[in-house]
Amino acid sequence: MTDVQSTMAPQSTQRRKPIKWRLIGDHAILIAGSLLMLLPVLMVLTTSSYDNVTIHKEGIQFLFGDQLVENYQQALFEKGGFTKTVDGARMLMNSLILGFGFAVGKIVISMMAAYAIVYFRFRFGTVAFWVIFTTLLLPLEVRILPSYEVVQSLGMLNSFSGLIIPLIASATGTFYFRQFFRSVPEELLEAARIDGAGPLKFFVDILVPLSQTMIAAMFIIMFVFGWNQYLWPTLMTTDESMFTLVRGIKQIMQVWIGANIPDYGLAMALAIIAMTPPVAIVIFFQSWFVKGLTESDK
Amino acid sequence: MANVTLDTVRKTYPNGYQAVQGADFQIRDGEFIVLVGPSGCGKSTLLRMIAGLEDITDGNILIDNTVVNDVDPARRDIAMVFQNYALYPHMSVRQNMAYGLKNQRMPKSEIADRIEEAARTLRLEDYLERKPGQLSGGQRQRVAMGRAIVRHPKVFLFDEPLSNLDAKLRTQLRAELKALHKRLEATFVYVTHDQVEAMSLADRIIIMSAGQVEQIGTPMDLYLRPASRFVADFIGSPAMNIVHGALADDQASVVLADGSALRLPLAVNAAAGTKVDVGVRPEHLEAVAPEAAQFQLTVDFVEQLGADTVVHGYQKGVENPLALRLTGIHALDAGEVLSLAASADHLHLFDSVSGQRLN
Repeated sequence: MTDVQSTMAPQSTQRRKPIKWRLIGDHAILIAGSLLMLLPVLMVLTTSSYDNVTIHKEGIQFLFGDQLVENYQQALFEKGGFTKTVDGARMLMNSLILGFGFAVGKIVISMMAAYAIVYFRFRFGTVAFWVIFTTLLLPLEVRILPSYEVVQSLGMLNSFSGLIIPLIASATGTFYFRQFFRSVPEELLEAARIDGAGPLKFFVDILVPLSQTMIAAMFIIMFVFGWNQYLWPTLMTTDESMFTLVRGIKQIMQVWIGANIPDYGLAMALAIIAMTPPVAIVIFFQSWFVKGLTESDK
Repeated sequence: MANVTLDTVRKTYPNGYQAVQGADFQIRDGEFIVLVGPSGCGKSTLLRMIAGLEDITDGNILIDNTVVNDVDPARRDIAMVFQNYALYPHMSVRQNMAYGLKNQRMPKSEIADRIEEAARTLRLEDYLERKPGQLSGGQRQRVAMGRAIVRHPKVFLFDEPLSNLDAKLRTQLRAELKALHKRLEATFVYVTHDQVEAMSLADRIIIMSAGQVEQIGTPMDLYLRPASRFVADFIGSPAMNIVHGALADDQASVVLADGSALRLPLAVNAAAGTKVDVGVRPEHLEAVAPEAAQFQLTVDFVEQLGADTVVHGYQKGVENPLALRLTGIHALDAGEVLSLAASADHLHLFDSVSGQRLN
């Protein structure tokens, strides 16, 4: 888009108006910025279409080669790793399960927590909220050893539940949903009470549909966050069939057997495959998110 | 249809604030009751207590002669219309109206019938599939009323339902509400801070101030014989003229601040020297010969409203500005002095300290 605009603009201005240097300057900066962001990804994409020898000899490639289909086929369907039991498709599936489980779990848990905090008066409710809130300050890494110990002793290593459940509690999510619920007018709750909706009905019939936008936003953030998890899956999974993509790429690069050249093309292809789902999720939910923002009014 | 009885109902908040201090009255079956008062007087709290949205600290609320203190709002057989409509934004008009009935597990065909009936009454037939966001304020308020009507409740509760609408729409919906009440013959309890709304809608008005009921009566009761200075001041626009003074020894006149006397052609049951407030409505003052005058009003400025003319002025010895309302169009100059008097029926005497009526 930006390319087209910038090449069109000077042509039309030559005839009629003086050149708008300011406009050209603005576009130059924007184009430079987007190239800076896009080029590495593009280079990975183009390089992933060469065989390993070419990449090893000539380095990063700027044009497409002839190995595109082969590399992606190999990345997705050829068993790799030490044990030769896991292929890219399997890792993609693992990553998707982790991403979705992570995002859905976080949304469900944090919505319920926020619902309790906002709508029920119970002892130490505020204290509970602030305790949850302060855990925002502590990253996963702080509690990773005790968490590992707990999961390990529960026998949940190398399982999806072990990958997902320990990460599911979300202070960020709880906080955002709390803020959102507090902005829902009190009268809606009262109208629902008069209409005979109990706490559960109000939550399911009124609050959840109203939170659509919020849920979409949280889903984007949490899916990407879950997808990109590296340290936790590395600790949790020793069985290669449980590997996620993010961790699997590294594994491929580490396979140096004899005098083999590392599978550069394969790794690049896997990197592209690993990037696609989060991008797709963002694009899909973004339109939903924007639609929700513009349509609903509380 | 039912009556509603409040038996010394009190509401004290945990922080000690007494929102309602002993409300004690009965609302008759089919009556249109308006609770009116300034903001923070406890009228909304009282309504919410009848609805069951607010706990009662003390006393009893009876609907249809049954104590409902601990009955869930949904089971009190009431319907409520909120100031900001409180429509479910993600549901269509039809779904909004159906929601409460669905929760009662009413058969689908009956829900459809009731919605159709309500939509016809409120002229909402064309909007049933729309979302509240696509409706105007007036239409939204009609939907809110529709949501109440379909329930066929014993009591309708309205919490300032017209406050968010513009003046013209408000007048229109006021008339519709009145007609609706006639049609349904249901008990309406309506909260507002707008005295015009109260006067035009109510069978009886309950006027509240600082958590206490000041007076209960028909609009004309309140207008003609306000029980306290607060009621006198609240009802009527422009507000009643109030003149401070002390009851003279002869008990037939009031001595004003500057020592001049204001004749009172009425019997007063208070001791001489009592500090009193004399009230007279702007529309009850009449021009009289100077020697018969009770008030000597010096004209300050004139508001010409077409149908009537409001003259604002002042009098020596009277702290408050005074107003005079004349029907028709009158041209008066600033500085002109008018001799005015009111008949005994239209003079109101209040105790300065307690604010209670003395005549």
